[in-house]
Amino acid sequence: MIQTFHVSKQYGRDNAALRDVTLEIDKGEFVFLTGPSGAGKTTFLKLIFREETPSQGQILVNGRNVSAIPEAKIPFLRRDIGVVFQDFKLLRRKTIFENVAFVLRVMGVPKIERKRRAFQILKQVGLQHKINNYPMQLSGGEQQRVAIARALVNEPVILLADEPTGNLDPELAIEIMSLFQEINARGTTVLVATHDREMITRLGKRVINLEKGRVAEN
Amino acid sequence: MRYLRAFGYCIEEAFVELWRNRLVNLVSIATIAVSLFILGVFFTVSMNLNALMAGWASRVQLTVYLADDATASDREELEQFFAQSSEIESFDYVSKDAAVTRFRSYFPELDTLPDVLETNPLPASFEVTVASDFRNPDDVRGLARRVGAVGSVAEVDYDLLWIERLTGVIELVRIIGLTIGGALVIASVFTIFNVIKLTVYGREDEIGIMRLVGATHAYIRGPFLVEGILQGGLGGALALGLLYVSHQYFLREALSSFELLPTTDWLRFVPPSAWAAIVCGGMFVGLVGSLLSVRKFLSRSV
Ligand SMILES: Nc1ncnc2c1ncn2[C@@H]1O[C@H](COP(=O)(O)OP(=O)(O)OP(=O)(O)O)[C@@H](O)[C@H]1O
Ligand SMILES: [Mg+2]
Repeated sequence: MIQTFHVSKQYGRDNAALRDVTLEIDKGEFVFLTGPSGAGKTTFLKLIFREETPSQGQILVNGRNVSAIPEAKIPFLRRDIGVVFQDFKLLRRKTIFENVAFVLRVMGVPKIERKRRAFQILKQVGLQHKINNYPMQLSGGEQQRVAIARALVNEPVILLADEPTGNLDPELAIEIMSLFQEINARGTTVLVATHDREMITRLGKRVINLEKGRVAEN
Repeated sequence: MRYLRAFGYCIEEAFVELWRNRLVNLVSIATIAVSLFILGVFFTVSMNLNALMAGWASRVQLTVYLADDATASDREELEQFFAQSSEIESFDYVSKDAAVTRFRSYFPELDTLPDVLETNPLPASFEVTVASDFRNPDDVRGLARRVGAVGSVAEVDYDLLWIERLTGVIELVRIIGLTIGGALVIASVFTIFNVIKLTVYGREDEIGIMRLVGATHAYIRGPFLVEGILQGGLGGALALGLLYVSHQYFLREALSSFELLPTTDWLRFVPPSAWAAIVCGGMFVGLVGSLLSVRKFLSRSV
């Protein structure tokens, strides 16, 4: 599902975020990406949905060579990938509901269907009572759950989650993780970047450990 | 259906945005309205002057006086010339006797004058009506010159003074109108360009997010273009309203103060095709402004 070949990413002249990363994540896998702050976890995720392009190497996602996709096709790659951003990236002038439904909207899903699916997923993250609020009116953890709902609403082929439980209390974190496992059981490939050692050991999934931009443990 | 939904989205977003930044947007709408209004005023004035001139011009006649020694065959020859000339709509022969009769009816107090003079001093003539396509100073003058060159013709008379003056005025109105109006339209395009630019800048973060969750280029640009078109269309509609009000209350007043126009009943409002042109013109101005802005400031698609 996701394959990288000798991928390096350089920011500027001598700021190497990733060095020679070669790895493979199969369809339907559930993988943790871990490593200290600044190790390159976010950068790795960004390369997958082409927010960034690699300085060297090749990336294959769902059979597509990501750096070779023409600009006009990039939105369609992104529609296959649900992303929970580390900084949430919610549209501040849209309600919670609109934020989640927007993903379906750009795909041309009819209104009734949008409503049904957005409401359902918001209910699953426990925010059905906040659907008409704006992001600024929500706590950090609530905003994070909106970001999670948005990433899941169109049942993506791949789910990338960057510190998805960073702002959640342990109980909520467990709930969210079981939601991810549910999605994973339905066929979505899941890649979660996290510092949370405890959660990693509890779930006992495959772990990719990055250190200073290199794969230290796979 | 999908495209229809995307189109619906663009319109919805554009309205929301228009309302959200209503103060700034009012500036672009007002700029467009003023420009189109001024163009409209000049158009109304020149349209009406044209109609006025057409009315006068329909009365443009050449009076072709025959030489005293013109024979019947001279007259026939002339009639044939008139009949063949495409510049002439119709012609009437006024014989020497008919001229006298007419003279008497015009000047009853001089009723006896022709009798006193023993011989009839009034020449025979043709009253020639110029075909509508040729009722302008140049053509009339050219026709008069050619008719005057015929041997049996003594003199050709015509009155072009008013038409010449009016043609000059219309030309002036048109040039001033196009210059001022054109400059203002360009200013409107520029205003829309800048207002949309500000909106784009103000929404850069949001646009970035939309891209990251899979919105296409068209989906992101669409609302801005619709917004420009809406601003322009609203400006055009406002211009039309202003034009109507000013036509009703001011233009008549202003024009009736001209000595040469006895009544202003003939003053017409612009026809429906012009209403459409004003509103569509506004939309077009809005589209061009927003298109330029979006092309310049929304070119990145990643
Ligand atoms: N846009 C950028 N411009 C320049 N340098 C960057 C940029 N993004 C990341 N970096 C650098 O790349 C390195 C890896 O960053 P990255 O965000 O991938 O780390 P991370 O593993 O996600 O860390 P964290 O756990 O704190 O989120 C860091 O040294 C960072 O300074
Ligand atoms: Mg990170």
